[in-house]
Amino acid sequence: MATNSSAASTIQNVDSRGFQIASRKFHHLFAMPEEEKLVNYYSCNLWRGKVPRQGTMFLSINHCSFYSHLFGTKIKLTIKWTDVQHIEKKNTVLFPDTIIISANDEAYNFSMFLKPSETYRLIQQLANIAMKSLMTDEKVGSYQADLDLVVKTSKNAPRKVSFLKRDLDAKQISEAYRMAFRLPVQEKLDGTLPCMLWTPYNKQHVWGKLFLSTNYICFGSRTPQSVSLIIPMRDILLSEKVDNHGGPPCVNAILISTRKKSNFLFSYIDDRDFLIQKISEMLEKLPEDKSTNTSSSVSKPDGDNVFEIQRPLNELFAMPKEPEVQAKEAVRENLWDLYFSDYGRGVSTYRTPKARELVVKGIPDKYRGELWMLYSGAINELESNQGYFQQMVEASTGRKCVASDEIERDLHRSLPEHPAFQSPVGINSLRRVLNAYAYRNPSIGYCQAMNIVTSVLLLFASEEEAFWLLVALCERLLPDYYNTKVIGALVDQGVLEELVKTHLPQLYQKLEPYGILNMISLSWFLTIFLSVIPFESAIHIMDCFFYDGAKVVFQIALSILESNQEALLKCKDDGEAMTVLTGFLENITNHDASSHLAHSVTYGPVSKRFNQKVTEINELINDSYTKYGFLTTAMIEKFRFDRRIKVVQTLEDNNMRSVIRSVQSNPFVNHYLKSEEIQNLYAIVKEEQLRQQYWGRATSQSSSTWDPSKPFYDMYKLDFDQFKGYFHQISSWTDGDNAETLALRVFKILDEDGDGFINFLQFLIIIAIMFKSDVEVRLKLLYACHLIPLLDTENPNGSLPESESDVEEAEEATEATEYFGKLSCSSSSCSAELLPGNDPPIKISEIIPSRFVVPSSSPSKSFEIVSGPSSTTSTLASSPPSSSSVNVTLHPCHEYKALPPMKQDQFVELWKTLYDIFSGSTEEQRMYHCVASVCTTLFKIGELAYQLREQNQEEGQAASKSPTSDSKSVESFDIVSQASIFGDEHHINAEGGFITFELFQAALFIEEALVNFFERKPKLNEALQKLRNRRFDRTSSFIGNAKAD
Amino acid sequence: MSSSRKKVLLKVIILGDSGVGKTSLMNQYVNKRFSNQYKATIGADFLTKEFEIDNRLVTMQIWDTAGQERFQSLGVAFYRGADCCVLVFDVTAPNTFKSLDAWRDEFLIQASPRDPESFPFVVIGNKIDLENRAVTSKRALSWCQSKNQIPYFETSAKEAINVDKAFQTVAQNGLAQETEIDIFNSEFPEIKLDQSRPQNDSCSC
Repeated sequence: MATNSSAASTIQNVDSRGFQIASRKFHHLFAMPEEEKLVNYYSCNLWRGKVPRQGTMFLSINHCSFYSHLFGTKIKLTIKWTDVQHIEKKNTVLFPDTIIISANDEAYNFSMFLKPSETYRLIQQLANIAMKSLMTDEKVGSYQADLDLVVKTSKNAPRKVSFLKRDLDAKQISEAYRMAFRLPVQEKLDGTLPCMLWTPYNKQHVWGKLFLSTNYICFGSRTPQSVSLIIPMRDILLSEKVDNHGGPPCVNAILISTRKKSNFLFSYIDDRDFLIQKISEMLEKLPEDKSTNTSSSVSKPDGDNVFEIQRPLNELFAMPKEPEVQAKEAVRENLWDLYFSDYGRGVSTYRTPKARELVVKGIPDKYRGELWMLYSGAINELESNQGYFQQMVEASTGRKCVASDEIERDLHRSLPEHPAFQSPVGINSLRRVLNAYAYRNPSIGYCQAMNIVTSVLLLFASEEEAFWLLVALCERLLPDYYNTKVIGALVDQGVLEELVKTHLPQLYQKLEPYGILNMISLSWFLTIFLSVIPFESAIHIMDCFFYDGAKVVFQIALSILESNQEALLKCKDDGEAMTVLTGFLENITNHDASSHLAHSVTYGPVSKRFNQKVTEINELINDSYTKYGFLTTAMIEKFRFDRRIKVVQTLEDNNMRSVIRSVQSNPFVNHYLKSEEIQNLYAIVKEEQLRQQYWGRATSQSSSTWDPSKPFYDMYKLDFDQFKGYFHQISSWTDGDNAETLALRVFKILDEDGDGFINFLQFLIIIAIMFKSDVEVRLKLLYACHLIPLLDTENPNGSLPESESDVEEAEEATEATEYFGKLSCSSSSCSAELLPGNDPPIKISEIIPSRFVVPSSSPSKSFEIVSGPSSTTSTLASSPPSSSSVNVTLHPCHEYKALPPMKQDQFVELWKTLYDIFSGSTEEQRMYHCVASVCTTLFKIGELAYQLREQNQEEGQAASKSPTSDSKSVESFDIVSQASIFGDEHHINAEGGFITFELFQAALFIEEALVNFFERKPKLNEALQKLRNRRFDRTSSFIGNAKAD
Repeated sequence: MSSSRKKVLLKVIILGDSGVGKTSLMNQYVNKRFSNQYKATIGADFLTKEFEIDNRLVTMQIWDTAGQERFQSLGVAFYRGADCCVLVFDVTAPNTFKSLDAWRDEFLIQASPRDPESFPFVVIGNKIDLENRAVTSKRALSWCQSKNQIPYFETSAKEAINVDKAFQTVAQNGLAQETEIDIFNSEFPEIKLDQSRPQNDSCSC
C-alpha cells in the first residue's frame, strides 16, 4: 500500500495543472471515486437524434463519460467499458470522423473531435483492457501504472497529456515493439532513434530505426521487410564509436560486436555519445541477473529425481528416408548453409525476406528446431531463463492435480502414429513439458491440443526448447488460445469468419447457417492444423507459422476454403461440408518429406475414408502466400479487437444464463421471482461487483476465487456492507435508527456458512421475502433473526466482527447445530449443560415454507460444474443431497417446529426492532400504539409462562413430597391456557423460551394495522430502479466531501 | 416397393468426458476396427455410416465431440437437429459416470428438442474389457431408469463387444423420433407426414 500511495503522489506530480483540474471536474461531475483515474478528455459532440450536443468526453480506466451543459440542458452519460458491445469509426460526408460506441443495446454517436484518431485509439485501448480483464477475471482496478516505463518514454512526450495516457501509450508502443521483434513479454521499450545499418551482404546502408530496450537492441528498416536485426544485450561484447578507417564509409557511427563475433555498424546517429553511454549503462545492469540465474540452476540439481533433458526425439526415432527424399533434404540444407554464411546464424543476424523464401520451401529437419527457436523468439526466453525449465519440472513432478490427470490421459493421444510416442522416452518427455507448463501457468493449466502441438515440438527441439516454444505459443503467438474458455481461439474463429465474409462472400453465405466454420476451425487454430493434416505436411505449416505468426493460420485456412469452394457450395448440410473438408485435409501430402506411399503406410490416418485427389502442401502454402499474403499481423489484431468484445460479451451472457438457471432451481426463488426480475437483480449485483473490483475495493471472496465445483450462484457474493446498502434501499423495515442492526441480523440469518458473505441465491431469497412472499414468511424472518446471537461489540456500528471472533462464532454455530439436531429428537430439557447463553442459529431455509423445500433433490448444476473434476457429488439421484444447498431443511416433516422459542432478552430486542421499524413513518403514533399493545400482551404471557414453568419445576420437586397444588398455580394456569390458544405451551415449557413464533404471529395478527404493514407488497421494479441509481446517491456524499475540500 | 424406398438421415451426437472412448466407439461401429492410435479429439469429428433398416436406407451421421471441460458449450451449433444422443462413460472411472447428468442437461439446453422428456438418449458404459471396473451395472441402470428409461449398454470398443447392438438401438430410437421425416427426399415431397418439425426439412433445400 505504501508504494501505491507514493506512486499515486508521483502521478499527481507528473500530471499537468490543467489536467488535474479536468480530473477533479470529472470526479465531481460523475461522482466517481478517486480510484477511477481519468486518462484523458476530449471536446466533442454527442448526437441526440439530429441535434449535436457540444460537450466533453472523459475517458477513464473503467468508463467513458460525456458531459454537456448548454442552454440549460444538461447531458450526463456514463458507459462502462465492460458493457461496450461495439466500437466503430465512421467517416461520412454528413458525419465526418464519427465514433460510435454501442453499449447496453444503444449506440452513441460522437463527432467533431479535434484528434479523432487519437481518441479512437484510446477508446479502443481502454475497451480492450476491459475485455481482457473480463476474460481473465483479473481485477481491472489492479491496472498497474508502470511508472518506470512512463519516465523512460516520456522524454519526448508532450507534458500536456495525463500520466495515464502516457503510460497507456508507452505500453502500447512497447507491445508493438515486442510483437515486431518477438521479444519476451516483460521487455520494455526505452527509446528509439533513426539511424542507418550497414548490411554487408549487399554492401549498403539501410535507413531505419534503432530500438533500445532493457535487454535488446533492435533495428527495423524503414521499408518494411527489408532487413531487421535483434541483438540481445547479453551477447554484446563491445560497443564503440567508429570513424572512417578502412571499412565502409560512415558518419557518426558506432560498432557493436557480439560474443559470437559478429559486428554491426550503425551510422548517422545524431547523439551517439548518449547512445553509447546508454548501452553501457544497460550492459552494467545485466551481468548480475545472469550470474545469479545460472548459479541457482547449478546448485539446484542435487535432488533425487534429476532428469536429463531429452534431445530432439527425431534424432532417436528418425524415420527412414528414401534416397530421393534425402537428396531433396540435402539441397535444402545446402541452401540454408549458404544463407547462414551470407546473413549469419543465431539470434544476432540480419533478418531478411530471403529467409521467408527458404522457410516457405520447408525447413530441413536438421535446422528445424533451431530456426523455430529463432523465429518464434523462444531462444531469448530460454537464454535469459537458464535453469528455469529444470525448476519447473522438479516442482511439477509427482504433483497430483486436475491438469496432471488430464495430461496423463492424453499422453498417448498426442502423436500416436510416431514411433517416438510409442516409446516411454517420448512419452516421459511430453509428460514433463506439459506438467512443467501447467505448473508455470495455472491460468491455462492444460488444454487439449497442447499435447498434440508439444509432441511435434519435441520431435525437432530438445525438451527445454520445446518448453520455451510452448511458452511462446501460448503466451505470445496464440494469445489466450488455451485458457479455460479457449477465448483466443474463439476470437480467431470470429476473425476467420470476418475474413471469409470479405474474401469468399459466396461461401460465407452458404456456410454461415451451418455454423460449420466454427465447428471445424477450432481444431485448425488450436493445433495449427496438426490434428487435421497429416503430420509431415502440417509440420511445414508450423515452419511458416513460427516465421510469420498467426497470420499464417488465417492464410492457410482461407486457401483451404477457397480450394474447396465449389464442392462446399454443393453441400446440402453441415455433415457433407465437413466430409469435403476432412477429405481434403487428410489428403494433403508432402513429397519433400516422404513419398506418398511411405506416408500412407507409416503415418497415414487410421482410416483412409475418402478417395480424393491429393494436394501438395507446398502448393497450398504458396497459394496461401500469393492470394492471402497481404494479411498482416496488424490487420488481424484489428479484427481480433472487434471480435474480442463480441466473444467476451457472449460469454458474459452465457454466464448470466447459467447463474439464472442455477438460482431458478430453488423452488422458493422460482416461485416468487420472474426470470426478468432475476436478470435485473443479477445485473445490479454484477455491476456492483465489477465496480468494487475496478476501484480496488474487491474482497478476497469475489468472483476471481470462485471454485467451479460450486453452483453458479456462488460466483457472486455480497459482504455485509454491500448487503446493507441494498437492504436499506429496498426494505421498508429500515427507516429507524437501528436499521443497521436489523440488517446485520438478517444478514447473519442468510449467511449460513458464517463466512461473512452471502451468495446471489441467498440475496434473491431475501428479495423474494421482502417483496413477494406472504406475511407469515416475513414475520418468521423478523422473529428468527432475533434468535441470532449478536456480539455486543457489533451492535453500535453494525460492522462485522473481526476475523478472530468470526472463527469463534463459526465454531459456536457448528456446536449449536449439533445441539439443535439433538433437540429435535429428544425434547427433554437439556439446555442447561449445553452452551449457556447461546441460542442455536436459525437458517434461512427454516423460514421458507416447506412446500418450497425439496428435501432430496439437489440444485441442478449446469454442465461446467459437474464435469469438473473435483467433488461432483449430488447430481445423481442416488447420491445424498448437497449440504451446501439452501433448500435442505432440517425439519422436513413439521414446518412449524422449525422455529424454536425465544428468550426474554431476545424478545425485548424484537420489541425494540418493531418500534424502530415504524419510527418516522407517517402513522408513527398509531403503529407505536399497536406495537405496544401487542408486545405488552406477549410480554405478559411470556412472564406468566416463565413463572408457571418455575413453579412446575418446584412442583415437580415438591410433588414427591405433597401431591396438592396451591391456589397460585391455578391462577397462572388460567393465563397459560389462555396463552395456549395462541400456541403450544409445551414448547415454552420444554425449551426454556419466553414466547414462540406462533404466539408472536397470533398476537400480531390481532392488530390490523400491523398486518397491513407486513402484508404490503412493494413493487420490485421500482425498488430495482432505486438500486440502479444507488451509485449516484452514494456519490452525493462524495460530492459533499469534494466541496468541503 | 423398393423404388419408393425412403432415404433417411439420422444425426447422432456422442457426448461424454474426455477419454471415455467416444472416438473409438464411433470408429469401431463405422469402420469395424479398434486402434489405440487416436489423437484426442479437438473440436468435433464426424463419420457417416449407411445401412438398411425396415426397408429404409439410413445414413447415420455420427458426430464425435471433444470431452475436455473447456471445449464444452463451444461447438454446440450442431447439437441442433440431432435425432439421438449417445452418452458415454468409462466403467472404470466413476467421475465420468457422474458427469452423465450434466452432459444430458447440457445437451437438452443446447439442442432444445421439441420434447425434452422423450428425446431419445442411449447410455453406453465403455471399456468393460478392463479389469478395474468401478461403476456397477446396477448403478448405471438405476440412473438410466430414473431418466425416463434410457436404454443402457455395456460395451468394449476394443473387443467390439455390444457396440453394434448399442448403435442399432441408437438407430431404432432415432428413427422412431424421426417418424417418417424425409430429409433428403426433395424429389418426393408428398411423403412428408410429420408436419410438426418443419425446421428439420427446411434446411434440406
